[in-house]
Parts: sequence; C-alpha cells; structure tokens
Amino acid sequence: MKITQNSTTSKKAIILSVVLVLVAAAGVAAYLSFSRNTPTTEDVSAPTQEQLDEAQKTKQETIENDTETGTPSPKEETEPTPQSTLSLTIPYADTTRLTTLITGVNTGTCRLTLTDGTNTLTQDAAIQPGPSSSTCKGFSYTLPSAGNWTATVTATTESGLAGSATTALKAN
Amino acid sequence: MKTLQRMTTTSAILALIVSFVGAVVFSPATSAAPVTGFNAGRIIDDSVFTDKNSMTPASIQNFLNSKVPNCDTNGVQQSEFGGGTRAQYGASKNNPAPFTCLKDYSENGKSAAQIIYDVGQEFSINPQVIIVLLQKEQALVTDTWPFQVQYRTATGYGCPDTAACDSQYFGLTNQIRWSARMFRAILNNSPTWYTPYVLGNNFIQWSPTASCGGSTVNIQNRSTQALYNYTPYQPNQAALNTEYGTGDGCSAYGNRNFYQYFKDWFGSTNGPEYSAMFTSQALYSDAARTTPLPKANDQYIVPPSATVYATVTALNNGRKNWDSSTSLGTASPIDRRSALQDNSWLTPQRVTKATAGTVAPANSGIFNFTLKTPSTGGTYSESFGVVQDGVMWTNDTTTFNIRSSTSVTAPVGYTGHILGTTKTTIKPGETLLSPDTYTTLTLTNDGILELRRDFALVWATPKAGQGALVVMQADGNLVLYSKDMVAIWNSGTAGKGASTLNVQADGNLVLYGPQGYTWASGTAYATSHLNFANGTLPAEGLLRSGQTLQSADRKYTVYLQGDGNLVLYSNSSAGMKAVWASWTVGTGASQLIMQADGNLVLYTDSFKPVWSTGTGNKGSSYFKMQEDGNLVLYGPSGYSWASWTVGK
Repeated sequence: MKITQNSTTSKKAIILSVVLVLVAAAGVAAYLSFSRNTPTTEDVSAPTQEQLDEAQKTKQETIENDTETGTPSPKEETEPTPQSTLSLTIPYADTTRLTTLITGVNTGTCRLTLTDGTNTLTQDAAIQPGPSSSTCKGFSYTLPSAGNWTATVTATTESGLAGSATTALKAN
Repeated sequence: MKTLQRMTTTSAILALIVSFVGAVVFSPATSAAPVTGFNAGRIIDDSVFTDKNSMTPASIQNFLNSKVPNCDTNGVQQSEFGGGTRAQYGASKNNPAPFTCLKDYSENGKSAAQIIYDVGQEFSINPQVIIVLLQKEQALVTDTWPFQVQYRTATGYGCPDTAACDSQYFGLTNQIRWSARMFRAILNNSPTWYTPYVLGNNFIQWSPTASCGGSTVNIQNRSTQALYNYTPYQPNQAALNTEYGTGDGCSAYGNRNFYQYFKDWFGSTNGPEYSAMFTSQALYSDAARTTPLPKANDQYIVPPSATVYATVTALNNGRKNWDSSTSLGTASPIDRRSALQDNSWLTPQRVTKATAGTVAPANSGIFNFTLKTPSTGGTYSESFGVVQDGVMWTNDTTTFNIRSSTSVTAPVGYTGHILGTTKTTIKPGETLLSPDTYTTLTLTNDGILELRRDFALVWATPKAGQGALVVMQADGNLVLYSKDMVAIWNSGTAGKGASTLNVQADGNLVLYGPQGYTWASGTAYATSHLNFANGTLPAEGLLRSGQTLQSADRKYTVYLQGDGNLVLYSNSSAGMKAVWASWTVGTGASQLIMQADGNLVLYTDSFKPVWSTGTGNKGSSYFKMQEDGNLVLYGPSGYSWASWTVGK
C-alpha cells in the first residue's frame, strides 16, 4: 500500500512538473509575443539598443552626406564636386501604360519610343521629383497593332546627364 | 508528500530556469532577431496608414518624451562618432551645442508634437506614420543630440539618393507636410501625381545598385504604393534577417525600418478585414446627377418635399472584397432611422449597395441613392457608413448637412448675401443667404420680399403680385416694383448714393451707403433659436448662448440661457415649466460643446469649463432631447448620462 502510494505521488509530481514547465514556456512565449509584436497602445518605454544602434547609423549617414557640416580641409577643397549620376529603370509596363524610376536628378525630360520594327511611336514627358527619386510624368498609349514591341525610355537633363531603359511588350 | 514537495520545488526551479533562459535567448535586447510578418506587397494596411485619430497632441508629446528620457542639450557626453564630447564633435561639424531634441523642438511657436498632429489631421494620415518616418529617415525620435540638418531634411523629402537635397523642402513642418501631401495624393490616386510603381506586379530592386537585382512585388494597396514612392527599394533577405541590423551590400533598409519601428512602437500594421474611407460626396437636383445643389458653410440648401440625388465614393481600405453583403447604412448612431429616407432604400437602415457590385481592396466603390426632405423643413445632419452585414461596421462615415428651408426654391438662383455690386435685382424665386446661411431674403413668386431667420419669418414687404422685381437703385433706394413697374415698397433712401443691401449673419437686413448705413430691418438676433435635426446635438456639435435644442415634437426644449444656465423646459398647455437645470447661473457659460471624447461641457467665452457630464472617456457621443422628456447622452456603448426627466 505504501509503495503504491509512493508511486502515485511520483507520477503526480512528474505530471505537475511537466505542466509547470509548459506553463512557464508558454508564459515566456506569450510575453515575447505581446511585448514585441502587439503593443495594445503606443510603446512608451525607452528605445532598445538595436533601435539606438540603427538610429546612430542613420544619423551618421546624414552628417556625412551634409555639405554644410564639417570644416573642409585644404585637400578636400581642391577635390572636384561629386557629379550626380542619372539612373532610369522601368518597374512596370503593359500594353497601355509604363512607369519609370529615376534616381540622381530632380528635373529634366523623358522620351518614350515604342517600336515594332515597322511602326514607331514617341511621347515626351517632364520629370516629376519625388521624396528620394523621380519619375517621368506618366506614359499611356494604345499600340496600333498586335505583335512584339520594344519600349525605350530616355531621360535627359539640361546639364547633359542621360539614362535610359528598355523593355519588351507583347500586344495580342 | 515530501517527495511531491521536492518534485514540485524542483519543477518550479526548472520552470524558472526555462523562463530565464527563454527570456535571455529570445530577448530583443540581446539578439539579432529576424523581421517577422513583413509583406513586401502590403507593408501596412490603408486603414492603419490613414487613421488620423490614433493619437492626440498630448499622447504624441508623451511618446516623444518616452523615447528621449534625457536630452543631452549641452552635449556633455562622449560623441559616438569620436572627436571628444558631443559638443566638441558638433562644433567640428558646424553644429555647436545646444542640441534640441524632437520632444522639445518647435517651429513658429508650435511644438513638434502639435505639428505632427496637425499635419496628420490636414491630410488624414496616421500621426504614427509620421513619427516612424521621422525616425527611419533622420533618427529624430530617439536622438538625444540632433543636428540642425536632421530637422532641415526631417523626412528626407527632396533628398535624391545621389544628389544634394533641394532647399525648397527644408524645415520640419515643410518636410512633414510635403510627405503627407504626397501620401495623400497617392492614396487618392491623384491623376496629377505620377509614381514609379502601380497597384499590381512591379519589379522592385533590392537597392539603388541595379546589379543587385530585385524581384516582382504585387503591390496590394495605396499605402504600400506610397511607401515605395518614398523608398523605391524592398529589403532583401539579408536585411530581413535582422530587425534593425545590417544586411549585406545589396540591402536597403527604408521600408524594413518603417515596418519594424511601426510594429515595435505602435503594434500591428494590419487593419480590420473590412474598412472604408469616404473620399467624396455630392448632392444633385437631378437623377442624372449633372446639376449639383448649392452649398454654403458646408450645408446643402434643399427645399422641403424635394427629392435629391446623392453620390458618395468610398475607398475599400480593408483586406477583403465588398460584396452582396456590403451596403451603405445609416450611421451616427448606426442603424438610425433617417428623416430623409426614400422609398428606394433597401430598408429604413440600409440605403443601397455599391454600383459595381464587388469592390476589391484598394479600389473605390460608388454608392448612388435618393434622399427626400420632409415637408416641414429643418436642418439635418445625415451620416452614412459602410456595413458588412453579419460581420461589422466600418469606422468612417460621410455626413450630408442639409438645410431645408420653406423660403428656398430649387434651384436657388443666387446664394450671395450682398445686392448692389455685381447683382442689382432680385427676381421671384431668388434668395440671398446670409454668410452663416441662417437668414434668407427671398422674393416670393407672389411678390413679397421676405426675410426669414432659421425658417421663421421676421420681416416682409407688402405683396407686389406675380412678376414683381426688387431693384437696388443707383440712387441708394431699394424698391419693390410690381410687374407694371409700380413701386409697391421702398426703403426711403433715395439720394443716399450708391448703396449695397446686406443680409447679415446677425439676422439684420441693412443698406449701406457711402456715409454708412442708411436703412435696416431692425431684425438683428430677432430669432436666435437653432433647432438641430431631431433634437440632436451631434458629436463635436456646439450650442451657443441663446440657442435651443428641441425634441422632435417640440414639447421639450433645452435652452442655454443668457444667464449661463442650461435649462430643460417642458411645454404643455399650462405653459413652460423648468424641469431640470445645470445650476450655472452667473458663471458666464456661453457655449455647450459635445466634445469628441464623449464629454458634454459648458464653457465660458474664454473656454473655462463650468459644468460637464463627466463622461470624458466614453468616446464619440451625441446629446439628444428626447420626446419622452429625457435629456440623454449616448455613446458607442449606449447611454452615458441622462437628466432623468421622463414625463416631467
């Protein structure tokens, strides 16, 4: 009888231990989940070290790129001013419209040339500046015939910078 | 038993160890955890992005304070970038101390918190979005010693990746406003704001370096489209492998950081499954919807017993399609029975369904419906919202403010308030409206020049018969002529010189000549009652001294008296009887405001509170003078305050 009692007690203790461990593990998971992912209102705790580290990199980049901070050394004064470069890509294109992403310049003009080898269409548009990049002010068109077409966009600035991109279109 | 105790103790210790180890291993402070839940095609839901009421100026300030517990104003700590103290480093970079942290920063007398809030309200952008933008672009939220350049280009607007920043966009307010303006333009799918990316499949690079490549991203909503217009790159896997850390040479961090800061600071970027944002409304006099009704002071002017044709457009900024279970319903409060219901409605509470049938997320639905004004005239504030029956109501509403006046015929020929400048005559059926739209001067079809204040006739000329004409003559005389040009009435001001007739906001009709006023109807403040539709003072409504709120059957009136007392009167055959009062005589109370927080407050002219219902935490509420004699405040969870005067 005593042995049986001890055995039952041990089993209960093991079960209880497992339950407690599971509860604790669930608690940790729940804490992490709620504290990291789903604040019910704004988080008014101090920023984490990761956030501060990332912020420091952001700030450093700003200071380094700012032309008004720092006292240039004689050597720096003799260096030529870095020239902008114009880069143009076509993120989206179909048989009726096409969009562009331009980096490096805020102003200028764009020209779209559509050709299937026989027919050629052209459209011009100004460059619209954005927060950190620019875009041509929209190209929309109707392709006059079915077949394989090539769309080429060229952007140019008054200072002579230029860039272009080409994409293929298939009109059914 | 001891064994059990021992085992229990052991288990508890083990549990603590697991907890500790788990906390240490998974703690955000000691690990480079990967970003979770980032969806490149849906970085944030439109409903979250445009939730302009997520924070108040005070809560924004509190948040900014929390992120900079100690601002190093004088730069006494060691610089993280070398060069001695922060003050010394700053001086070496043309930015000497003192440093002003964002929580303390102000422009033109307005704090950064207030600027963030105001711009959010102006463009309907979540202030949390603006806060995160300031952090991910210039680290301004957490910086304890920010440089001026960080404020100058606070949101990075007008700063091309490979060129100098454009000075026309410099300054904190300027930067935030340009960003919010751009976001709003893209959210509204403005035809004059071009974007590199569109809804649907786009090729998006990992970084400015084209050789790094990219992938096709299905942009699913306008907010995500707007974010890519800001930072035109998506984070690659190396960037996503760490919440805030560094990826590889092809990593770009703008959109990752936006997502991660937002999630850590404000919670999920996911909104509700069903959500709507109203983008336009219009009211027409014809079913073809070609002739818009006149509008003054945000009120449509509609004659009584008229059928008018409404159109509202709402953006589906939720996550699911609107379908056959989606309709426009009466709102504020929801499922209210409208006074302007028309037989064409689906039910008294369900107005119509979207014309397109199904409206996918990020697309707009158009709801066309008909309203019918009652024969008695009145002022109505009719709100509608999008409801997914059996699921939920969306949280935005659109409100038609309508004044239906017996003295107005449609279409109104003239809604200016001055006669004698560009216009010199009033023809039958034409109306002049005071700037506040509460006073009308109309030449009726039978030739009476009538002045009405809040629908009540306060002054009139003799009848001149059909075909009459009112002329503001060059000699300064205002004359009512019959159709045979016989003067029936005149102001007796001939010879006073070129004059103008003004329908003033105070209810007075006044002739002004070169030497000042020459004649007046003497009706200033002749009627100061303002009867809100159905006896309801809506959320954020204002009742001024001398104005009343009446039950729909006009048996009960709550009156903000000139002595500062707010009194509820019962009107019976025995006369008026006061049944409830705020007991604020002599306090100077002059305005009763139904605040957005649910509190109903009596204020003086200088906004000193003298009485309130004490319901400031009940949410958007309205104040109702009921036909049962009870004065009740209703909030989202039912009534929150009452005068308990039923039947008195």
